Amino acid sequence: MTAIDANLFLAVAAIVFVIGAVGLLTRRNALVMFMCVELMLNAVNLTFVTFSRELDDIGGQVTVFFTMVVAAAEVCVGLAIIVAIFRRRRGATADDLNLMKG
Amino acid sequence: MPFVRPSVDWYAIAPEIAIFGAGLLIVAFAAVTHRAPILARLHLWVALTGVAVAGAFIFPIWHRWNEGLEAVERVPSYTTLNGAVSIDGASIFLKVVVLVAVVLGILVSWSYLKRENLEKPEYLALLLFSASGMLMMTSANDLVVVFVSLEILSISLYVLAAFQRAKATSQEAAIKYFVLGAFSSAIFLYGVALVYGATGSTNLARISAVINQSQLQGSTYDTKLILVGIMLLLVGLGFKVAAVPFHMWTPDVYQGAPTPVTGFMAAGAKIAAFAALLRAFSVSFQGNQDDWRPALWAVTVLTLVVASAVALVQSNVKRMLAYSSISHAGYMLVGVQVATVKGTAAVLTYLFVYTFLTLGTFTVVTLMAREGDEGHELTDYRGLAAREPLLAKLLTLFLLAQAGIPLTSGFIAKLKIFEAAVDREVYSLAIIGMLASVVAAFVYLRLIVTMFTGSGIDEHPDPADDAARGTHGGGTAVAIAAPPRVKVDLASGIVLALAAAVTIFVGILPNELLEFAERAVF
Repeated sequence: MTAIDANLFLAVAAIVFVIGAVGLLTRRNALVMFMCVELMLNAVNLTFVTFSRELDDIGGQVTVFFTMVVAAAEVCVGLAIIVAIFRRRRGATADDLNLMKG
Repeated sequence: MPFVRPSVDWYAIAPEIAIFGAGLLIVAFAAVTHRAPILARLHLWVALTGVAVAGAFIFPIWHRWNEGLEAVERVPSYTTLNGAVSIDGASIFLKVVVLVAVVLGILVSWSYLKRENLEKPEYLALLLFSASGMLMMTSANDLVVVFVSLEILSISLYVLAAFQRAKATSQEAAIKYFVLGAFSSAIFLYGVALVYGATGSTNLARISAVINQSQLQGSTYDTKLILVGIMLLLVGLGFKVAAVPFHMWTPDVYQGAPTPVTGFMAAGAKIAAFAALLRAFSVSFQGNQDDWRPALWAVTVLTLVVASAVALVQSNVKRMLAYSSISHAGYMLVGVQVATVKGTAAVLTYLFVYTFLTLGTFTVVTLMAREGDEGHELTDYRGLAAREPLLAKLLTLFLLAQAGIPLTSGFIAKLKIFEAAVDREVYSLAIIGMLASVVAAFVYLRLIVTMFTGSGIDEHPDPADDAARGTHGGGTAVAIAAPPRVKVDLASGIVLALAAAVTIFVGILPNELLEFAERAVF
């Protein structure tokens, strides 16, 4: 078994995080925006686990559980808001949300 | 290795438990009963009792802290739950401020909910859940606890923003708040991960120890990694306090959310986020302040300048108040940027003053709006002084205080901030802050002048006058039918009286508050 450099994990996590962040800012579909938030949070989880292993400290892995619970709660609320909007007007694109500007 | 159970000082987290318990009680009760108006009143009393119990539980904590303060050899602050929760002066002070915001928030909401026919128990429960997150955040001494309490308060606020479901603007506010809130939380969490990777701990006290040690003995950790982490934390919290350039969501959310929710969120979320900012930056990252202070300087200057300038061109009162709350965040950021004890005390004072001012202002705006929560355009405030002399006078008081006119609480708060900046020799921020407050004064005066012009009843607005103000309806001389007078109910009356009393009292006799704030630093 060959050991894999921890920096590779961190690099993958960073790339996934950036993909999520860019996706959130550029995609217009609310559901895809949600998926991008999940990507970002999971990239953070990967970072935590990698550091946890590197530092030989269990704290980082425990944090991942907190993140997952929070992510689940966030999605529940987010989907509920989307459903509420979807009931009023068909389609869930961010471009329609333009009542307020200034 | 045997598992060691961390010691739990239940008193330290009793206020949070009381508030959260009251919220759960309301939810459980509502689940098994019919929805009748009499029960709605019961829910209100449960909520208020919960807040009162939480307030009562602050006394033993305060007592213990105060004893430690008097015995010189003992450090007044203490931690519990394996160092994750810290009880110190600042957390006790801010817990009191949060509870004030909750009580005022509940009272303002009450008449609003009745008016809009939204008397649902979920509203109060969500408000209390959000408040428990805010309370937790004031004493969070571990970045993971900061994150979790930030989410507890934010997720409840997302739902509250969407509470007026029938209104498209309320929904739009909720989704915008949600997407940007989730985005900022993810950024904040990535910052936590990087700081953890650099220092090996998420505990703020241990992070601070690692930083200080490496300042003495040369770097023992990855300095670049921790700096990136700290910057990400700054961005994440910058979103929450609505600092420029992370403020894009604020005007839309403030405008679209139900007005009492806007008031509560403006006060509560800011208190919590500034508690975390102070604890993380002014205390724990004290050791490498030379690295992050320039970045925070830039954010502060941007916030002060942009908020005051953009507020000038707003035609919607709620949007205008949103920009004014951004500019208040700018002043408080000055207190964080100086990274001194004086700065921290100034921020605490400002938060106390700001809570009463914001909730007072939004109470008037709520009452003014009448049914449907419409009528927030600047033109709707024409002639308010003639129609509603009392409300107009109170709003004038709150706006003058926000502008920082002497003999009001706002003046004292701003003065302390500038004092802290001058003390640390950050003259640039003091000067920019003073100039920005001059510009901001125009914003408030514009609204005040609008209120005191026109009779308000059956008037024919002068087209030229309207066009000069850049408001809607220029050129159309519409006869406005006299709207019924606003009825100020008891709950809103209490909020208004309390906010006005504190605004004047602190403005004239600020010593009590200032002394407490100075003693209450970490």
